[in-house]
This record gives sequence, structure tokens and C-alpha cells, in this order.
Amino acid sequence: MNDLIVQDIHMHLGALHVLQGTSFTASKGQVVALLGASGSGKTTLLRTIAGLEIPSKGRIDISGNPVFDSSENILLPPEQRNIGLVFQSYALWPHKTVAENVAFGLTIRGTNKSEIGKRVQEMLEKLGLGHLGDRYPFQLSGGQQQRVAICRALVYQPKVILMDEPLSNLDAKLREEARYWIRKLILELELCAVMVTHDQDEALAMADNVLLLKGGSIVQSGSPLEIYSNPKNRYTAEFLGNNNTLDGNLSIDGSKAFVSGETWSISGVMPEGVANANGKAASAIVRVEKMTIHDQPGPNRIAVNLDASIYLGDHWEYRLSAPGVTLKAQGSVRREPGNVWCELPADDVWIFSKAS
Amino acid sequence: MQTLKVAACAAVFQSVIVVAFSAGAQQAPEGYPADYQGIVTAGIKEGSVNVYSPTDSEQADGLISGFEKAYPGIKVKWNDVASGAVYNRVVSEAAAGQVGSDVVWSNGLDLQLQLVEEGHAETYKSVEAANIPAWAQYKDAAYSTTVEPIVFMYNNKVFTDSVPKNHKELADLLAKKGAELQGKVTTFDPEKSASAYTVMENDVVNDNDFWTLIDAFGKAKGKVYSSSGQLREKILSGEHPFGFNVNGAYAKGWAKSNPTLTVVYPDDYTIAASRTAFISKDAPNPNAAKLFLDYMLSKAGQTAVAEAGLPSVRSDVTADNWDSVNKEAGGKLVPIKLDAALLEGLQATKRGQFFKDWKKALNQ
Amino acid sequence: MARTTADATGFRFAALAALGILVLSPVLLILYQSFLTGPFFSPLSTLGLDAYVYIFTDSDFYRALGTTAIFALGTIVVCVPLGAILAFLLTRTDLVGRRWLEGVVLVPMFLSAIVLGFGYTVAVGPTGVVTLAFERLFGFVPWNIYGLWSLMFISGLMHVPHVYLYSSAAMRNLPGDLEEAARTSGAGIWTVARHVTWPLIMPALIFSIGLNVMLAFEAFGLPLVLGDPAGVLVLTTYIYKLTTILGVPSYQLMAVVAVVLLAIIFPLVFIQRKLLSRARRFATIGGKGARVTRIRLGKGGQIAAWIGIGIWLVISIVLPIGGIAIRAFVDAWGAGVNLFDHLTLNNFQQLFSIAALQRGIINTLLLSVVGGALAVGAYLLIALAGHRWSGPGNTALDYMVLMPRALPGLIIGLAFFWIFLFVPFLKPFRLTLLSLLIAYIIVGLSYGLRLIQATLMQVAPELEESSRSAGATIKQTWSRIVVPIIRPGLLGAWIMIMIIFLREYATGVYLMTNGTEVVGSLIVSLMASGSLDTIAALALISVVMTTGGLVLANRLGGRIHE
Repeated sequence: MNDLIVQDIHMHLGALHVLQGTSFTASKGQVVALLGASGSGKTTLLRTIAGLEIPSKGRIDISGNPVFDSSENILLPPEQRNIGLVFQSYALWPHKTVAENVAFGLTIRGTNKSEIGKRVQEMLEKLGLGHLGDRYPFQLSGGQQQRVAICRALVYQPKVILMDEPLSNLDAKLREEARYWIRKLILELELCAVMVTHDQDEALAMADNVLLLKGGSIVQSGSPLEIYSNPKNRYTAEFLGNNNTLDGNLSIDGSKAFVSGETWSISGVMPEGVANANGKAASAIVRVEKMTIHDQPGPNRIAVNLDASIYLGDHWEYRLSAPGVTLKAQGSVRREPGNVWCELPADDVWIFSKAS
Repeated sequence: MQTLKVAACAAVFQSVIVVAFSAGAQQAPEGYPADYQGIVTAGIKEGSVNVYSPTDSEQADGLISGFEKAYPGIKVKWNDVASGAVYNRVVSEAAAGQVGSDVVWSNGLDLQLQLVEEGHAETYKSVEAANIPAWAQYKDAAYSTTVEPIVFMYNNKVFTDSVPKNHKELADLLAKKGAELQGKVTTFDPEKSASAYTVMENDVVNDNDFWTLIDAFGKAKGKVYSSSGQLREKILSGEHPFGFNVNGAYAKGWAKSNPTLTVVYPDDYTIAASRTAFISKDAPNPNAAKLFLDYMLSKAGQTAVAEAGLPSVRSDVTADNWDSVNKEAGGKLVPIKLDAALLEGLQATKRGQFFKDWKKALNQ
Repeated sequence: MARTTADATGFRFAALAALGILVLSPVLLILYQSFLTGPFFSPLSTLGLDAYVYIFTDSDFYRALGTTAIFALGTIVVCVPLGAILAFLLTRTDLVGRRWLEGVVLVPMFLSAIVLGFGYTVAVGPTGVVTLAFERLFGFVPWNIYGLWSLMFISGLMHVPHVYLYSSAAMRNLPGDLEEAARTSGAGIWTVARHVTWPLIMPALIFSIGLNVMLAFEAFGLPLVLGDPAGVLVLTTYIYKLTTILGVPSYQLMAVVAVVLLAIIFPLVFIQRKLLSRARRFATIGGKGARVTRIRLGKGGQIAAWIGIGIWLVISIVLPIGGIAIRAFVDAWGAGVNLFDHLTLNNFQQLFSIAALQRGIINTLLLSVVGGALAVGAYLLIALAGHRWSGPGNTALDYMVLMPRALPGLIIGLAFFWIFLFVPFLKPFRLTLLSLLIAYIIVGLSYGLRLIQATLMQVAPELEESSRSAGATIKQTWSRIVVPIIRPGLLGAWIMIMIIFLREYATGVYLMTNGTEVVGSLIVSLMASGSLDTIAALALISVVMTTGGLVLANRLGGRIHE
């Protein structure tokens, strides 16, 4: 059963159409990532699910209950949606202790005192905060505050948890760890989680389903693997990963598509379909890690000059250039500058028309 | 003969009854008409009397305690109402049918008479009316109760010129020594104080050359103030070493505690300002009001008020009264009569003209 | 439009309606009165524009209006920068002695303008103590406290505490990391102030400016004492004259001037709103729980700051309060007087012989302490009603808040006197302290509501949103989250309202009856009978009492800061 159904949500802010008919579903034990640049509408969408913004049209069901339905005039306030919400800034109440912060949801629901104490302590211990119950938020580190925020959101066992940029305020090391244990926690508790992030690493690492948003619409959705390896449009291809882009002219030969420049011609796949005529301007996009360096020419290889090898600790980065083209590649050894060929595997080259 | 005898017996019988019945109850004061007792009894039953007055309760303390002693059972509820607010309180309360005042006692003479004219005062010929001078009574409704001479006052340490003894000498001094006296002479502001205006109105009547004085005052950049407090401080501190049209009843007290201050009663004429009382129409305690008004005008009440620094309007009082003040004024004391002239002063034409002349003089 | 539902809309409208009734009743009455030819309760009055014609063809009116406008401008120019700088120094830096200073800053607020003006006269008037000493030493005196310039300067100084209160409330919770970031990138303290602190406190300053403009327009005591002797006429003294110039009090004329004052609000609030809509509202009580850090001044900075503060202290506090104190203990002063020959305790003895004083003190304390708490409660409800509620309701609130401030205290008192007199169901309350309390609540509205609103604005929306998501209704959020967080601000507002109610005098002039006297009114009647020395004694006691009360409140945890 789907714990969260979001259907055709439209929202206007003044004249701006900030959400243009977004829809998705999620079920328990699943993490959905709303990924996008700032202004893409991802946070707004999250807030409409939470009830902190009111869409103009659409429907939202949480745990089988409609919390918003524009056609039926149903609109539940946030406090009646039984969700957990974790803010980017954690939003811990400064005048309450950690334990009081976490206990709040239970107190409001009228749980009796001893029960509250027990469950709060359990939750804190689960996230390694058992000894911090009597501290105040300002006495905690960023990572600890984040965990308190999560405890607070989960203690009353909501079915759906919403997280707004949960990792962005943590430093790098903590972030890497958090990616792992938060996802583990969600799966363990069989929660349905929706998280907003602008960081693709977060989305790829934590989510089961990634929704890439742009200008209030969903540009592509799919599993992390899907969305990374099979972009269906240029925006998706360019948003994720580390890319090389070659601009040139498109030509179709039978079932194959080619992008050609002055001294090179590369074949690849066209995810958007062969709808374009020959000669139209197009770009070939390929992930940096897919490119390989060779000493000989070959199919889908371009003659380039290796300008420099840059040491980055765990790998070397090669700077390549050819007339009208600058490329990057990676390898495990240092290479001398000079003429080389770099191969762009045809199956991994995505061809899109320019500025699609 | 028989009828007389019967009448006499009846009268004796009656007074015996009255005495018997009122043994233990409050007596009307000596010499009052017999039916006054009815007012006394009714007043005591009413139990309180509300007085609206800008005179503060401290200064009226003798009056209040004297009255309460004379009529135990009647509480005096003193309401401190600023002079400028008296008219408004009375008129508004009457319009709302919520008259709260029994007696209204204010130094804004013209407005008090205006209130009488507008029907806010009860007509009541006070039992003490015979003891009050004619100029202090208005239509058996309003009664002046004090004599407050309007005097010159100066700082004898700072003011070194020859002291003017009357208005003419003052005008001459200002004309001759205008330059040295720039900003040094002060008076009460008629534009801000109704009682200051009333006094000056009377100045104009008593002194043909009063406008000459004001003209010279304006040329010498004289300063005006709206409260006694400020006036006193300015003269005391020497900022304005000389002032005229100062309330002499207050000034006498100030000079006593401050030998720096000297009071001069102008010897051409000295105006006597006053405070006037009337009983409110539809007063909540009409009988107690009558008792209080009569007490204010009685020898005891007038003595109490005089001992508090406001000379009595009666001549048979041993404390400061009209006669003693008149003596200090060299026999030149001139009262502000309660008559139509005061009301005329409220007319836009007369008042407007005064202020036009006043502003012209002061803005030189 | 509300961004969430279940927004307590019913409560908001009810609170707004209640406020509307309280504020608009006197305003509408005055408006109505201005279009009549006589008192509104007189059957002879008819509708007409006579009053407007009179006022608008009176050259004195324009003179007063122009002077008042200049006066307001001058006041703002002095009080806003000084107040903001003072707030900055006391809340954002490690200024030595700032704890003590925080209490002292408010002292000019403890006394009414008339009394303070008188204090200046005793200290630095033409025959003032300092003046005479200066003259003896140097042979001349470079200052004159009478006149528009001195009036603006002193008025500006007197209003510094107001600006300080609003600015410090805003500055107190700024996250120190913003400023630290600026400083570590090499910015000096004033650059930090200009680029980081300034934009964040701009809303508070804009509110202050609006409030202080209206305060200047309805200022009466100071222009009376310091302006009159130099012939400076402002709108309030113009009204004062109006009542006498025509003999019988002419309410319609007073009402016209009041209407003009009210009209000034509209462009003022309009500009205010425009400025505020552009300034982004920074919520600074966010959820990060950061500790506030202070900018270090360094030795040179401390000395420079203290020189400036010292000068301000002397001019704003030492001179007037010193003047009052001197007058309280002497029976003569001025030219040719050796003060030491005239020391006396008589003025205080006089004070204790006044019977009405006891009643007055009890009433005043009751009104200030208990009434003040009730007032703050009322302001809190109104502030919550407008909290995070954009739309016409909020706009109406912005305008209504400043209206009471446009009306001089005397006129508000008069209006409420009439309201309590003529509205049937209010009659039984007129003779009680309740009528005074309601009038006082309206008088204090502009101060108290704004202070609480400013504090509320500091609460990050996320703190409320996280509460709603956790299952709390908006009312539960207010009571469990918002109000506890702003409690220091509430206590601070209570203290400020107490101070304001303590010194209030004009509002009660018409409402007072036997039994409901207040200390302020005693001062009015003492002035009329010439006893400024007794007033000085009373004022000195008042300052001491208020300071004591402030210290006590601070100790009890009710600090104006957290």
C-alpha cells in the first residue's frame, strides 16, 4: 500500500506557478528524494505535504487518509496529518531541554507521563543521545542537534517523515556517516520518508526513488541507478554526475546518431528520440569516469592533447583539449602531456540537441 | 389675644417637640431659620457631598474637616478637577444625565457664571447671603468665597531698580529701561489661563493706560507663563526678577517662606480675584449641597478657608478678610464683580479684540 | 492568505475587532465632533465645516504645524542614531559596565516631560546652577535652553530610551556568527555595524521612527516649559491656547487639530510599511541555539565609547535629575543664592501632609503594576492575532496601532471621559479605576504592542512550524512554544509599560474622581497652586521608587533582556 500519494499538485505564489502538477507516490520502507536546484520547488512541495503551504489544486493522501483534496474541499492542518518533519536548521526549541523537545509530540497527544519518559529515553538511546536528555540545544554540537530533531520527529511513530536538507548543516565526515545511518533507520522502522536535497550524492546514496525537479515540474524520476545512468533529458544528464560536453552538429545515419565537430565525430544514443534533422546543433554528454585514455585511435575515440595531469589523492585527473573541445578524464596513474586518444563509449554517450 | 396665646403656646410646643425629637440628632447652626433643620436632616440622610474644585484638598482641608465636624454623618468627597476641566465636566455630565457634582467651586469666574446662565446651577439663596457683599453674589446662584489680591512680586536680591508702586510707574519703568529689562519682566498668560484673562479684562476697565503698559511689556520682550508654579520659580530664581498680575494670596505665603520675594500691592488699584461656588442642578445630594455651600459662606467656613491662605470675603472674620486685604492694598482693593461684564468677556467680539491687541503688543 | 489552515482566524478577527472598538471609538468620536458646530452632546449643534474653516484660516495653526514638523524631524535626528548606537554598544559589544548602564538608560522615561523640563531649567536655565557656575568661571554662557534648537535637542535625548528599547530587543538575538564572520574577514567594528547589524535591526528602527514622530507631534510638556518662553508654538500648545482664546471650550476646534494629527499617521505608516516590505525580515531566534558572542572593543574603543556615553549621561540624566534633586532639597535657588544656605527638608514634609497623596500612590501603583500586567496581556493577544497574518487585517493593525499616539493625552482622556459617560453599559465603570485602565491601555498601545511585535518577529517560523508538525494546534504552539520563548521580551514590555503608566498624567485629568486620583494629577494641581518645589520632591521620590522597582524586577528575573 502506498503510504503517501501526491497527485497533480499545483501551486501559485502570486503570479508564479511554482508547482506545476507534480505527482508521486511512496510506500513504507522507502525513501523518496526531491532533488533540484534552488527555486525548483522541491521545498515548497515538501511543505505542501506537511500542510505548511496550501496548494491550489491536487490531492495528497497520507496513510490512506486524504489530507488535501481540492475537488472535495478537504484541507487538514499540519497538526492533524501525523507526520514527522525535520528542518534544515533543526528548529529545536531553545527554551526546552533535549528530552522536552523530543517529548513534545507525545505530550500534545496526551500520552501519560511515565510512558513519555520511557519512549523518549528509548528514542534518544537509539540515536546515541541517551545521556543528553537534560541538556539544552545550545549546548549540543550540530550533529547532536540533528539527531535530536530526528528523535523528535519520530517519537510519536508517524508513518511518514519529511526531511528538508537533513544533511546540509553537517560537516563532511558526519554527512557521510549520516547518509548511511539515517537510511538504515528509516528502513528499520519501516517509515516512508521524503527528503529534499540539492546535493545529488545525498539523493543517490539515500533514496530509493529520486525525483528531479525543475521550475515546479518533475523532470525525471526513477531509482538512483536509473536516473544516473539513463537520463531521459538533457537537464537530468547535466544535473547529475561529473560530465564532459562536446558541442557539434548532429547527423543521423540509419539508426545511429552522431555529433561531429571539426576534427572529431562521436556516436551515441539519443534518449529523447531521433526527432531532429541532420545538421542541427547538438551536444554529446558523457560522464567523466566513462572516458578512457588510449595511445591509438579507434571507434568513438577523439584525438586530443593531454595538457596536464592533476593529482587528487585517490586518482589523477587529466585535462584534455582539442580544437573547440575541452575534456576531463580520470585515471590511476600520471600521464605525460602529449597527444593521446580518449574514448567515449558509444553506449554511454548521450546526444541531446543544444539547449533542450 | 387668645389666638396669640394659642399661637405662642403652639410655637413653644412645636420647638419643644423639635428639640425633643432632635435631641441626639444634628442641630442646625445658631441663628439659622427654623426650617433649616429639615435641610440638615435630609442632608445627613444623603450622607455625602461631592465637590468639584481645582483647589486642592490639602488647601481645603480646614474647610472639609470643619464641615464634617459640624455635620457628622456627611462625608465630603473632594474631586480635584483642573480649572480648565470644570466647565467640561459639568456640561458633559449634565448632558448625559449623570450629574456627579453637588457643589462646583472654581476660580474660573466667567465660566462659572456661564454655567449658571446655561442652567447648570440651582437657584438657592444662601442663609448667609446677608453676610456676603453684593458684588460676590450672582442671581442667588453663584457666590464668590475668597478675596485674592492681584499683586506685583519681585526678587529683592536681583531687582535693583526703583520698585514701581503702581501700574503707571511700571509702564514708565518698562518704557525707560526697556533695554536693560529685556526678558526680565513676567506675567500670567491670558492666552492660556482663563483667570489671567479675566483679571486683565478688569485691568482694562480700571486703568485707561493699561494697553500702554502691555505695549511697553511687549517691547521689553516680557515673558508669559500659564501656571503659578512656573511664575513663582522664575521670579524666585531671578530669571525674571519682576512679575505683575501674580496671585497675592499665594504670593504672600511664598514671600513669608522666602525672604527673597517681596509683594507689592499696586496703589492705583488692586484687583481682587476670587473663587466662586454654586450648587449643581440635579445634584445627587441637593440638601447636603446646600449645607456645604452655606458652611463655605459661614463664619466658620470662611475662617477655615482664610486660615488656609485664601482671605475671606466676609468682614466679620478675624483671619485675613476683605478689610485686612484692603488695608494692605491701601484701600484700593477692587473686586471682580459677578455681573454681566464677566459674561461679556466670553463673547467672541470682545475677547477676540483683546487677544488681537494682546498679540500685537507681544509680537513686537 | 494564511499559509496554513486552522490559523485561529476566528480569534484573530475577534482580537482585531476588540482593538478596533477600543481605538476607533475615541477616534471616530473626535472625527464626528470636528464636523459639528458645538459640543456633540448639545442639541444646538449642527453639522458644518466651521471648525475646519476656522483652523485652516488661522495663521497660528500653520505656524504651529510647521514648527511641530521641524521639531519632530529634529527629535528623530537626535534620538534614533543615539538610541541605536547605545543599543549596539550595550548588546553587541563587551562594553565595560553595561549591566549597570542598561538600567540607567531608561531613567529619562521615569519622569513626565514637564518635570524633566523643569529639571533642565534648574540645572542649565538662565539662572540655573550650572549656568551660574559656568558664568562665574568663564564670564559667559554658550547655551540657551529656550528655543526650538534646544527643544529639539533635549526632546531627542529624552526619546533615546524608546529607540534604545526597540533596537536592543532586535539586536539582542542576532546570531553572533554573522558579525564574527564579518570581523574575521577584516571588517572593523563600524563596518560590521553598518553592513551586518544595521539591516537586521532596520525594522526596529523604522518602528521607532514612526513612533517617535508621533510622540514629537503630540509632545506637550517640553514645548510648554522650554518652548513657550521663546515663543515657540507647537500643535499641542496651540490647542491649549484654543481652549482659552474663545472663552467657552470649543471642542470642535480641538477635534479638528486632533484630526490633522491623525491624518499625519497615514502617510507615515504607509512609508513605514513600504520600507519594511523591502527590508527582509530576519528571524533571529532560530533553531540553531547559537550562543551570542560580543564584539570586543579593545581599550581604545572602551574609552571612546565611554566618553560618548558619559556626555550623553550628563546631558540626559545628570542635568535634569540633578536639577530636580537640587530643587527638592532647597527652598530658594537662582541668581545670588548660595544653595547651601537654603537646604531644607520642608518640601518633603509638605508632601506627606497631602492627604490625597496616599490614595494617589496606591492607585498609581495599582494601575501601573497590575494594570500594566493586564495591558501587556492585552497587547500580547493583539500581537499574536497579527502574527504571521498578512492581508488587510494586518494593514489595519499597523494603522490602528499608531492612532492613539497621534492624540495628545488630554484629548484621549477627554474622549474616553465622554465614551464612559454616554455609552449606556459603560456607565457603572466610569467612576472606577477601570475607566482609567482602559484609557491607559490605549495610551500605552503604541509602545507595548510594538515591543511585543518586535520580539515576536524574532521567532523563526520553523519553531512554530515544527510544533504544528509535531501535532500541536496553533493555540498550543502559541502557549507552549512562542510565549515561553518571548517571555523575557514580555517582562521587558511590562516594565516599560509600568514606567509609562507611572508617569502618565494628562489622560486622567477628566476621568479622575474622588477615589481614583493618580500621582500625575497631583502634579497638575500642585503646579497650578505654585508648588514646583513639592513637585520636585515628589518627582525625586518617583525616580527613586521607579529605579528601585526596576532593580527589583531585574533581580526577579524580569530583565528587559534575557
